Amino acid sequence: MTRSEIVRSVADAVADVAPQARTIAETTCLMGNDAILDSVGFVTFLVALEQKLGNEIDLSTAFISQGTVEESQNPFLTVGSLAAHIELLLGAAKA
Amino acid sequence: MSDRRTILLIADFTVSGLAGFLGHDEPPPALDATTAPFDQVVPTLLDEHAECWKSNPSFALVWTRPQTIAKTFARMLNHERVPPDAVRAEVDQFVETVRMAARRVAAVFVPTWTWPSYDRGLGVLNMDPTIGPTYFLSKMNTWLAEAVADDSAIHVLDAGRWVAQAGALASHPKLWHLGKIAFGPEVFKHAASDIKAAVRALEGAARKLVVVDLDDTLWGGVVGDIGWQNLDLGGHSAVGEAFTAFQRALKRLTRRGIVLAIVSKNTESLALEAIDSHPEMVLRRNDFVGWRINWDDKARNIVSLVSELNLGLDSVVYIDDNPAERARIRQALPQVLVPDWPADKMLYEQALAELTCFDSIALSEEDRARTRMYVAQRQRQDAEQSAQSIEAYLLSLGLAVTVERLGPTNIVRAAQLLNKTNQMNLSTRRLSEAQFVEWAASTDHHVFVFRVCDRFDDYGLTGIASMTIEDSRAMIADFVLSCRVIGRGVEETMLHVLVDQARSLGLRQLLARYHATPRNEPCRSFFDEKSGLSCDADDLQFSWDLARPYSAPGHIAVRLSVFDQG
Repeated sequence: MTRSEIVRSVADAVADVAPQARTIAETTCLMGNDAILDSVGFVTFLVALEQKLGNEIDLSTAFISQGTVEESQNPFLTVGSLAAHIELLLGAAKA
Repeated sequence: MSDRRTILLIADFTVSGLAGFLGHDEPPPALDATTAPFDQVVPTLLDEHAECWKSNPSFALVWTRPQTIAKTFARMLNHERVPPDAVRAEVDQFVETVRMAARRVAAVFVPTWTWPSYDRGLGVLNMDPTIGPTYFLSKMNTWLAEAVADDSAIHVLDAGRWVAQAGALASHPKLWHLGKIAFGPEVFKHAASDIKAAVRALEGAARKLVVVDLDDTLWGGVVGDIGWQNLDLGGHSAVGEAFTAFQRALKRLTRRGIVLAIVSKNTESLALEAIDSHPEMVLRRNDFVGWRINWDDKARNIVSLVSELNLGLDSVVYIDDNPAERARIRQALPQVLVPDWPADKMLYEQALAELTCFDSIALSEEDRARTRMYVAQRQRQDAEQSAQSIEAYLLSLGLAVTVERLGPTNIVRAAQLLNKTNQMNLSTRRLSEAQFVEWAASTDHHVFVFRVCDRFDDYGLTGIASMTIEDSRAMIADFVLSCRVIGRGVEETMLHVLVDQARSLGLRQLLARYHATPRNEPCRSFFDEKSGLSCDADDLQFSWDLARPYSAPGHIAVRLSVFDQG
């Protein structure tokens, strides 16, 4: 799965949960004050994304178990950071 | 449809995901959703003073899981044998609490109970009448529908269809464990679409006219090029069969009160010959209430057609296989709904079935007969053109008006008429069936409905006149007449009935106050120029001195039906 395909899957999963979202880019915030999703929407998004990725990786458990991390290191912060994180996870799964 | 309405979501699971889909303006209307406290369904329904009711929502949604409403069902899931009567009693008890909430809003929507699609239950025993969960679930939904059937403010929505359409995405154990979310976003999306369609139906905003193109829309091929004998329609061709299936689906719509018309760039004589002569045509000439088959601009033809039919452009759905023609209509007539249409002709029937714009709250006999009425109107117009004068024409119609009081036999159609009539409407008051019945029950309120027929057809229930008694005066509350019978003396007949009744009650004055809307100018015009009532020009209040009778027009036979009751 290429990086652009992962970004598209993340963006599609956001759109599935947030019909009000007009444009979804790599910089779109998924968490924090500018987040496009509320907490329930975020959970729904993670599960929907796992399904789009063929249930190959467990994002929701990873999210719960990560605890508090520095914002700059939070892979769930934006569409782009999450796509990069998924790329790493998929790579690790194949290795 | 411009004002935003609010809906209170009451559920025993996290339902906030639905709010985003309801708040989105596509499809309209956008609804502002508020959410009742989590898993507090029965307390919320019972407590009218609960915080969540203070925003005075227009609608409520009560969405529950079967095992929380019926504890006996939960026991059955543990493979205990439970008496069906005990399950039914719990369903009835739930319905009684929903009824209490229904008094606070215009309508309550109750989705049917479903079961997570990933749980295959007991397999071969799922439909066992003693322990089968699927059997009991279907019984519970049937009991629910039957229990609310007499309550026009409660509407059961088919959640099973939303779950089926969402497929594997309908529910997921992770969603439940992480957020107590019973359904995935696909289910919420379909739910929002059906809830909005129901709101549009309640507000009389359903589409009423389907305008279709001909070549490659109603049949395969270009009739002007290949002749009607060679059209791809019916027979043993898969595509031909799909076209007849699409025509059958359109014909089914006419039995729901939706009328059909044609706008096509074609030679009229050739197209009509195909409609009359092709042995596999399902739709014939009398299935269409009108047509514009010529080489003019289609947008102009649609405007001309809806004007002839006395409908608004916002009543119209336009179906055309040609993307350029669809784009033209969307650009020229934004009020017309122009659905995207599949290039694959075998998907036409499905595309029509997926449209939510035709939903109605009830189906009356007038709805079923609407196409016949329009066809009769076409014959009537032919008679008008051949008459010597308007008086001779009206006399030739043989008009008869039957007057009834509002009651169980006419409330469905009366509420429909009240909520969708725009032009001849004095106050443009909108009420649900339940609200209308409640209003009419007051001894100070009198509601009359009017059925109209002539030698061509029975128009059915087409008029409503109601009045409120205040001291020695009668104030007209509703003066509503279908545009199909405007200008034939029925308006004067309605005033005659109101004046006659007010005089019999010993009242002195009949008043009518006109509330202007963007579409009810014909009503002002009637009261101001034709009714004979005196007008106070400042506030557009009209009056009639009840010392004088008000005559019904001589060309109309007035029949009073069960009039002395009430």
